[in-house]
Amino acid sequence: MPIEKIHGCIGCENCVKACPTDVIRMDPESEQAYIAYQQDCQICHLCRLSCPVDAITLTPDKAMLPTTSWG
Amino acid sequence: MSNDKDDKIQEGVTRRDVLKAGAYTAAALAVPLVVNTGSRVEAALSEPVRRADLLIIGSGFAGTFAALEARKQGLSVLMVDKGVVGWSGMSPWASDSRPFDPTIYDRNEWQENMAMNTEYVNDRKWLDIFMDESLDIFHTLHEMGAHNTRPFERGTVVFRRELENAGVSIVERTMITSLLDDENGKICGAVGFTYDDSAEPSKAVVLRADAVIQCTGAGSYKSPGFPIWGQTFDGDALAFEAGAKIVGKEFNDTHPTFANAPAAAYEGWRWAQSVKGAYVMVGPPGKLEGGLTLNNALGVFQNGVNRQIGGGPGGEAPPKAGEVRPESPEIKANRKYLGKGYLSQPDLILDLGGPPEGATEDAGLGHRVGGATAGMGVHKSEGVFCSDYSCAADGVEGLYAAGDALGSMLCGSLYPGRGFSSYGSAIQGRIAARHAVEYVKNLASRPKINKQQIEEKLTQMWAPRNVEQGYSPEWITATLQNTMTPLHILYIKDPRRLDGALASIEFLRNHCVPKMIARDGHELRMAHEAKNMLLNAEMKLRSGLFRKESRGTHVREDYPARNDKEWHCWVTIQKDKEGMRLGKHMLPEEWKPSKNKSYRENYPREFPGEDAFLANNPDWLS
Repeated sequence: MPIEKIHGCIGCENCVKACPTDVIRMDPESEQAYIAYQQDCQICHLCRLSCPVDAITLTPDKAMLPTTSWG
Repeated sequence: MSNDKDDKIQEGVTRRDVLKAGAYTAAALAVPLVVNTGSRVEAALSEPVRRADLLIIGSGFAGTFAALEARKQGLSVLMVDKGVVGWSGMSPWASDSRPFDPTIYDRNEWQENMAMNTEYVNDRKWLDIFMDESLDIFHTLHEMGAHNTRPFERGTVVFRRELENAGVSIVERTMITSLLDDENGKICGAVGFTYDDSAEPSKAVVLRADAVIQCTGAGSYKSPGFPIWGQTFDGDALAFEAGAKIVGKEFNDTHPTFANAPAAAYEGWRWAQSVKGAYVMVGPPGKLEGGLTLNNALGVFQNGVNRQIGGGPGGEAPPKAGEVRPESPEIKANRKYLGKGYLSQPDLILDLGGPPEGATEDAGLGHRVGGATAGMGVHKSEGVFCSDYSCAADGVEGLYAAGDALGSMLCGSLYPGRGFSSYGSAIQGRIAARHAVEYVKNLASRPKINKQQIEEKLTQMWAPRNVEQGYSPEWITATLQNTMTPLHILYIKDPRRLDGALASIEFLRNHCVPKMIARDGHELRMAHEAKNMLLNAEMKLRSGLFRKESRGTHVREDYPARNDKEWHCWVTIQKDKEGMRLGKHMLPEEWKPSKNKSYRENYPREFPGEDAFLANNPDWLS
């Protein structure tokens, strides 16, 4: 699990701006950030570092895509 | 130029208009608007065409310093970024510096050390420029307040404010996919798309300018384990397709990561990201120490993986937690500079060399393993080639590059130690802007865009959204990683293995990329990134095959020795009808290693099998 959860988001969008790989998006209805493309998280921690309320949890582990013959 | 007719191509068009107009009447609006995703049909709108005198792609150190310089000289500037301006380009090492102070350092010592460490294919004139300008960058950053920030805050707090105050127009979360040129081949803009389609569909973005500076950084194959951010060699791909020469692809970065959690990028660099202030490397670059050498990979190649201690970037094991090591000769020698010149300034974080404090052996995540940055080249030594120090791309008019997007070869065949990258980018950003400003001011007439060309490029850009059955960018990326990352492809090279990998990469490029599918804006970005990474992979394999010697981070099992007669050169790549044309750019005779010293004195690092190879090939060095 790379970025694991966002809990207690205040909707400032800092994490969306900080993420270099477009993992986090804003939900237009709830106006909160959510993890949209977890697989592309590089565990760089920029989202966590820029979150003013420490709402983001990351872990060091990440599962890579298994190799298949086509996909 | 806001009244320019072309600016009105998309003005006033709303999504509702497009939906009402229906799918194919969109052609009347000059840019294709319809994206068909199988069962889903949605309209992808175009933003109004925007224009400025100068377009800068990327907003890290190079882009920021380029934009500020161009604004100072009176040009209007559009800055476009794949991420968000202020957040982009701020690596954990954004605090690192090694400014040259002529009152305390010896120019010749820097030149000689750098040449030996990077194996004599570094650009000595760029190092001169670095030595001329780096202290000014230091003072400029200090005045901006950058020395009171952590690395990523340099962008979010300082650079963003400076750019906004300077009146730079900003376009964000936009991936650029093609450059535009006029009927004479002069670069005059770029096209791309907004990938964040959470609130509204992706839109085409058309940006016009009289010149373009690429500050797009480097790239890697998105390998887990290194915070390379969103960099995927986008600048190389844009420039190559536009006809520019690319250089330096046979050399590699060698950062390691951890065996038990190889994707835990941050754990390896936690100390660097938390540094607050000006982190200054004291002393000249090392002759042999401090660089990102191949030592670790060569050790693994010869002896297998050392699962007990692993090794740092150059092969040395970082200290264990709490371990205090005896002071190295390098650190002892650098003590003499303390308190002198700019180093007497208070509040600097001074690093005398050796593994940085706070970097522990394994962070609890197992031994060190290689390949964290697979695909990344040497900072400042891969990218758009410029032969005259203007940062103008060889082969194309109106295109400039700076920072890691420019193959300035400042660092030759391996990164010689920390402190050159961010400052090198800042220096080159300013130089690129000065020359681009001069170019724009001297243009006899503004380059005219070709609407048909824009339509074609936008059609190509949206293509993966229109494929109904195809390969996913994720699968292509994973297959690319599996092909290129291993030790015996990227680091320890052999022509049969390089050819084998090339055949696989060519299949992906020729067969799979045209059938790549993107189901949303995120995947469209992934698709273009995969295409750019594959182009880079082919460049790396072809350059690796072309350079028939070993040097720095380029090692050939069949030619395990340096050959200054044939290969004291840079390898350039340019697009031609056959695909890629490779060439040699020979270097000045006076940059070659000393004739008064022995081969081994000039090249103290020994490649496996090198001495035996030289003994069996007596003509090699003659």
